[in-house]
Amino acid sequence: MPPDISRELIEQAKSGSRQALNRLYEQCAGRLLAFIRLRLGRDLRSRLESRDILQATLLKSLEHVGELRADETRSVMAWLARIAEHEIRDCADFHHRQRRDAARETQLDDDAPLPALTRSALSRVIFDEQSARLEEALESLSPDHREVILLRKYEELPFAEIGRRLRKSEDASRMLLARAMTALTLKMAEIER
Amino acid sequence: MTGSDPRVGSRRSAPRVSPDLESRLAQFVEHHVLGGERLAVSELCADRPDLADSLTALVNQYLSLTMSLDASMDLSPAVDTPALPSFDGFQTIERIGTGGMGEVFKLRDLQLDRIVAAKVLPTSGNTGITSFLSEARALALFSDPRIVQIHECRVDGDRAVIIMEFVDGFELGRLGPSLEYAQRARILVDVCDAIHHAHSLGLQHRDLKPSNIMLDAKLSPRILDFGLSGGDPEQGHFIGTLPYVAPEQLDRSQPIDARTDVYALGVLLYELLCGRPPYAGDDRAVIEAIRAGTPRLPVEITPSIPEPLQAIALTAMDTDPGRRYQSALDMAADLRCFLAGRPVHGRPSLYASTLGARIRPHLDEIGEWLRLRLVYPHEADRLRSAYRALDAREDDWIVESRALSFTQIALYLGAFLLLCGSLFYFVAARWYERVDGVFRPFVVLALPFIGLNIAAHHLYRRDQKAVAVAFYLAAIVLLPLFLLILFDETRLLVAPVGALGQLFDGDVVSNRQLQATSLVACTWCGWLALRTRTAALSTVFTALAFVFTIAVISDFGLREAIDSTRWDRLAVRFFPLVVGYAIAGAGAERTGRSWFSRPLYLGSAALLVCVMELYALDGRAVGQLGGFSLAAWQSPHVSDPTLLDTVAAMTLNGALFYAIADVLLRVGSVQSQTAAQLLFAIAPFALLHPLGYLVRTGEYSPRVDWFYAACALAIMLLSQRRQRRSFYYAGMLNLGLALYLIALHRHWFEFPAWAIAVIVMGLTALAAGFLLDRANRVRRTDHPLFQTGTRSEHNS
Repeated sequence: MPPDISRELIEQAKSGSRQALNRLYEQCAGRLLAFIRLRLGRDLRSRLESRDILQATLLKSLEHVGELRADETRSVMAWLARIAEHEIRDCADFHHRQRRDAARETQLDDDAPLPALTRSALSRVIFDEQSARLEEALESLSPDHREVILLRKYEELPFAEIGRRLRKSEDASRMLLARAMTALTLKMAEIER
Repeated sequence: MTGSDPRVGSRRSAPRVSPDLESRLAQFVEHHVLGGERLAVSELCADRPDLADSLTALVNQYLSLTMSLDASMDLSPAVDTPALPSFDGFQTIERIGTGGMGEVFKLRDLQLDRIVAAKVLPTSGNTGITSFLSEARALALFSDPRIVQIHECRVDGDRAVIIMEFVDGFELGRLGPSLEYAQRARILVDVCDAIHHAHSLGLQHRDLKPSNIMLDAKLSPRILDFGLSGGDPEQGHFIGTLPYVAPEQLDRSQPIDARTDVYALGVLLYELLCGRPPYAGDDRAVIEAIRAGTPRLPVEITPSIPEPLQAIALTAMDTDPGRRYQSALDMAADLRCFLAGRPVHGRPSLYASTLGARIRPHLDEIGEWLRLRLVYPHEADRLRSAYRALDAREDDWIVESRALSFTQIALYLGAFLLLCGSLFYFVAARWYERVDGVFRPFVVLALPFIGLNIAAHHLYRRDQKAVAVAFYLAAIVLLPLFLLILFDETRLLVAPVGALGQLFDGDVVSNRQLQATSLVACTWCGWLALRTRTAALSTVFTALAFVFTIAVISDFGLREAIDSTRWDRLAVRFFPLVVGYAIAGAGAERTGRSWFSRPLYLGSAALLVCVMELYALDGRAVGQLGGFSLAAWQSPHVSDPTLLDTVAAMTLNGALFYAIADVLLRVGSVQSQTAAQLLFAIAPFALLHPLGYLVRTGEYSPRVDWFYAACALAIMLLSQRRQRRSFYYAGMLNLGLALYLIALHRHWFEFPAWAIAVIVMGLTALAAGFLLDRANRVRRTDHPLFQTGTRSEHNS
């Protein structure tokens, strides 16, 4: 992760450069899509279109671009993941489905040129075979293992935060991640064999 | 969420990796995760070298996984864009756009910590840079929230840099199509107001286009690139952007003024309404189209577009700057009318020309229908005249206008009241001698005349033609009566006492006075008619020409002819005017002044009828033309010896009118058709009324009334053959009169038998109609073409 470049990009994006923002999106969109799919899980994935959520997430992120903190180089993904989680929670709630649909449609149908910005980022997100295998491997892990990988590798949270979320100590979280990564490596090896 | 998943353990945990190998991998990962260090595989497998290869594969797997999961910020430059230039005191954020005028960058002002935009223009080869900068400085002096502010201009080496306000928003062109029409109109009102503000300070834009107008979050427009041209009418040609360039910008001989921006505003509105510019294609095609100025009507592209907005856009886009809104303020006012739900004033000349162009194929088609016998000639005439009525100007006078409005009613009522008032004043002044001197008539008649003419002149130049024409018309009725009073008061052109051949007795009006007055009025009116191209003034001119003719021929024994009831002499004196009208009408039509030719033709036809009827009176026509008389055939107890001659001449007149109309219809021009229609309508009445007169006098043989009835009936029957409705009406009217006179002469009103006979005649006519209808049906069913049709009729 070359922090200098990303810091500069974030700075530019915050000062309003659409190009910079777009490049940030391009970098994150692939992992964000994988994250959304994993967070949705198999059940919801069959009902909800993860790309829609990705698009909605990117759109929503435009409104909150000011919250982006340049000093945290990793925060772009964390920031986007946070927005995505909100989006998924909205979507997953069956009772809110109608509302969500309506909200999303107005967003997508809005003729403002916002979607054009995310469109190029979206067009580059390819959910390829490698991503599918990784998803399969992650989904076959134990929930604890999967969660810690999501929190650390996708949401890019610090271990202190992960520990808080998993009700573990920071070190225990680190250990959990190590075990999870081992399990994931073995699973990938098994799938690819 | 996955955390709450009740399933524990993996579903497919068939361990293919030995626990040994697994524990070694776990050790590697643990070290990597916790300490960030990579243990050597050889170390890990020191006790089991056989596992080294498998462990290496797993470690590589792990490392690649970690890399792919962590490689979020691989920010190698995606596209190679030219390096951003730097500006003293600013941090360059990004390039916003590149246009014909130069590049635009987004900057952060490091001193004031605000975002600005910088437009960079290369100075090399651009000699106008100094004037450009001076204008930019001028623009920087005035502030309008809707025009993007210029903060600073600097020449920086080989480039000129304008630092201006940065507008965070969207280009009008991108956002426009998703807005409500009212919102679009509101945006344009703001743009027009801003442009007008600049115009009032002598600054013109000359390159207005959607990409030069940004909308901020509140949909308030901000205009960019202002002040790239000053107000010099000699400059600004061949700059700007197609298709927003006005026709006069494509022609160096034409001056450029504020109305050039109005044109661009019209194109902007057009594009805002339709979502696309009026003209597209390669540059040459677009330039041609701009010169031609016949864009497609927006409502044809999108039917939901409100017509008033379309009218505003097309009015502003008129190729003739004189027919556009004369300022951006006028356009804004009309847009406000639309927003307030009031009718807009813009009436694009394109409507008339488009309608004219669309009518032409219809007229051709009518000719084709006529050729194929699909329609009767009279139907073709009616259709043609209906189409021609559409060709009339909408601001024409009340007789010919396509739509009536209170404006017109008020205007022409005003003109009419002026006529009445001036006549009353003339009577008071001349007959009753209640007005002395020149001053009071001057105030009452001449001042309004001058005032109205001046007002009309200005209104006409400001394109309010309907009002201008009404004003001119009202002024003209004041002129002759004032002149007559003036002549009398100043004893000018007074006839010598006892002079012969004066039209009016005493010293009311002398021939000379009348001639001078009518000549002045006639000339003035004729000039106005030519200038304004209106039927109203042409008609008044025709009437004044008649008065002038009277004044002239009064020198040639007009009064004498009247006094001695020599109607034939009167008729002969008026005859030149019939020919004069016809020639003038033909001349006007030949030179493309159709609005002038129609009243002249109609005047000619009407005068012809009067002249011929006058000529026929007292049997003179028959005597002078043929040298014979029907007097011998008359019964001796008829008091008027020339009665039969008169009646015969008048009847011949009817036939003559019909023949002239027929000839006109066949060989006459388009405008003379109206005269032909008039003659056609008059002909049957002219044919029958002498007989009616003969019968009415009652002196003649009682059997003539039967002849009269028979003639009326014959004319009615002839209506079918000639397909002329006027024949039918004339025949029916005269038949009714004949029946009345028959009963009157014979005192049959007291006998019910007479009434019964008439009823029986009516029943007979009905029966005849029924029989004819049945005969037609039988004939049709016998026709092989109609066989199938009838069968199905029977079946049903």
